Amino acid sequence: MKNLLSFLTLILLTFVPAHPQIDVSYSKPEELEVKILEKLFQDILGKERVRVFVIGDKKEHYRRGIEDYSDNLHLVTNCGGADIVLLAGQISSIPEDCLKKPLFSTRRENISKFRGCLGAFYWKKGRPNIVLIKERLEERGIKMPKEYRRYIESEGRATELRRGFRI
Amino acid sequence: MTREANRINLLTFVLIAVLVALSIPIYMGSSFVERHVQKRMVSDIVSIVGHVFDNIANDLVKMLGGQDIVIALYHDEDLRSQIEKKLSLLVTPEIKYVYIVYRDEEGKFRFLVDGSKEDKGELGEKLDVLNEAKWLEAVRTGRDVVIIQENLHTIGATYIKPIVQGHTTRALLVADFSVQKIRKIKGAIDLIRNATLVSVMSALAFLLFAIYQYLRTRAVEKSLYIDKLTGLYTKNYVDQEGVRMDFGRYYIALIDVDDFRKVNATYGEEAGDHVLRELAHFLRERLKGAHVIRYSGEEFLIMLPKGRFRDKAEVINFFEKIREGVKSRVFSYEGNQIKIRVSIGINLTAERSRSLEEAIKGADRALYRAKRGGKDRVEAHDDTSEEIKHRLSVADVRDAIESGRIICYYQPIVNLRTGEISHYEALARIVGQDGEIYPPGFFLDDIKGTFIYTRFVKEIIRINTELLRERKDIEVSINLIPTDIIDETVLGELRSIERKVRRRMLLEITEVEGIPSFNSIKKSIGELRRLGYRICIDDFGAGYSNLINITQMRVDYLKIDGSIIKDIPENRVSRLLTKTITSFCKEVNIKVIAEYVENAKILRALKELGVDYGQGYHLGKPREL
Repeated sequence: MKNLLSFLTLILLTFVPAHPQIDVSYSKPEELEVKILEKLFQDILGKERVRVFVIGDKKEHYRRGIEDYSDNLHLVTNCGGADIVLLAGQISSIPEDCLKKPLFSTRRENISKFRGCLGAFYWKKGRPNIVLIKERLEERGIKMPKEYRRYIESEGRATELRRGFRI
Repeated sequence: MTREANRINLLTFVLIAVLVALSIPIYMGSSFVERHVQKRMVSDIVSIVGHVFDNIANDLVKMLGGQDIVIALYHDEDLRSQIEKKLSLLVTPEIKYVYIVYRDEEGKFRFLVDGSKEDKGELGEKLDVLNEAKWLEAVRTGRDVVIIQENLHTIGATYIKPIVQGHTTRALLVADFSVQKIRKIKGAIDLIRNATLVSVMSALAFLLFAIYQYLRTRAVEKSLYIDKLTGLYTKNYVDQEGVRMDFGRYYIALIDVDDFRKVNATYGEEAGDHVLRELAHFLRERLKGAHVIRYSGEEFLIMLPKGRFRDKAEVINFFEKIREGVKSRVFSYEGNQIKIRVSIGINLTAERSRSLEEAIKGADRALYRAKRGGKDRVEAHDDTSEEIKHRLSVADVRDAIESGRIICYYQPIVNLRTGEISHYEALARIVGQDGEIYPPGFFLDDIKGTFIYTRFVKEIIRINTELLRERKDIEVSINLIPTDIIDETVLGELRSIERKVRRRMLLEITEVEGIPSFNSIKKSIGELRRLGYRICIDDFGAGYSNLINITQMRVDYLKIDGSIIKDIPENRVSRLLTKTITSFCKEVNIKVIAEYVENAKILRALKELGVDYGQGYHLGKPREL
């Protein structure tokens, strides 16, 4: 685990400044996570200031990060007052009133687990990865800027890929 | 203090500079070694991985048997499993992830097989890559690409091997690895570097401290050695540094402002300070290349390099011009035009002295002569001159005492109202072995401070006591300096004389200025008066001029200095001064004596001013009785 963390840190500190699509500046990995989430949420919701409700086993980690590094993300204590719900880490169930809100995850697995999850920002082999689900964005009438094109995946395409079609 | 401290400081600077100079290459070299080791290790590992990947890629192509790798891996789960197992064999603590990706029609990289033990990518899962240009380069060229990542603690790399089928890159075999061993090497190098850095920083801190100490020492030296009023070096500088000076290379001169107290008394001390400041500036300007030192209140010590002059006469002329320059200069202060004069004593043979102090003493003797000779003049001390050759040594004086060659000449002091001789001033002389008569200027300065001096004073007292015993018709005054009348030996001698004689003996106390303790002097004078001696303050106006002190000491006579009397017919200030002193003394019942009565004009002026007594060549020269 220690080696993994050091490797992730290495990759992050060296590669991320060269990340071609998401233009954010940061000085720590935690700050990068929050800055990317902030930009994603602003672009998904089309607003500058975003109210976020955080749930999941990594809730405290992300809440602290948002408090420390974001000026535009504001933490709320329930889904009613939130613009978006951040599924931080693993989560078994989501409160009923949260299901109406746009969901976004820090784990790729949560995309298939929760129908309302628009996408995820997560780490893959030490690299920051973003996935946005095309159909779910469309359902909510969300149109993302061009720079996100490479991150948008179709649910149908995923099925086709799994079956070996359209490779 | 300073020279030694400077030497230590210099040594410290040199040591620190050497330390820093040696440390910098070590520090920079450590970075070079580190880079080199990193590069070499990465190169070695990449080389190993590259060979292994070549084998894997060849094996894969064989396994595929002409099938397209992407299609085959999507459709053949067994093949995927076999390849995954093969790739997993490559995973080590250094090689973290080994996987195969392909680039789809949208240009996204997606996993085909992942042999990694953790964070595995699923089939078809998108992988956002960083430094994408390098990945595309591998796709485009079909050649292996290595991406190196470095940071402060470790080093990592991504090895990308294209799997080429036909002439097209269909997939990429990728390994992400970190070189753990470099951490250990880096740790050792960091230790050296940090130790070097600490030593450099310590050296620099020490250097800064040394600089601070040096500047502090300089500031202290400056406050000790630099006179605040004139900006010149002080006597402290001479006392401290003089022992190291090659004083033989210089003509030593003392320049003393004549009657400087008059400036202070007439215009105030601020005016006096202004004059000293301006005079210091004048001397610095005129004596470029020379050391100009404020030696005491209004006395300046000059150390003039000998090389500038052809002979001694030229030196004397040079100082004559300085004297003239000061005399003709007007010092303006708050509307007052102040003029001063200086007396200058030069030691032309400083190289013959054993120390700078002795050389200065030579200049001081010359200055003394200049003062005694009427001031506003230049006198030179030359050990090679005939006069100096005839100076008497301490041993000569001792011989003179022991062989009865101490005598006195007597100069009459005349009552100016009656024209009668009031008393005589005894003036000491030594009869040389050659019969020549030597006045005190030939020996007195040299014996002061020695035990012979006290014997000499006792001899003078003895001679005059005997004279007064023989000659009951006369009264005599003898000269003493303030330290004499607080010296128990001298006091004992004076106490032992019978009262009848004491009543006809006056004690002239000279050089009152700079008395060691006013109260002691006052107490002694009180005792001497009770014994029957009459007290006369000599040279009043030559230096010390405090009428309040005079009244406190309850003296009987006050002798006005010749420097005031000599220009009484022409100088209004001298005249006024004499008149004021005389009036004051009459009020407090002190009789006034004027010395330097050289001519009838002076005598007439003194009579007009009501001065009680006169002394001088016009009234009578010193002679034996």
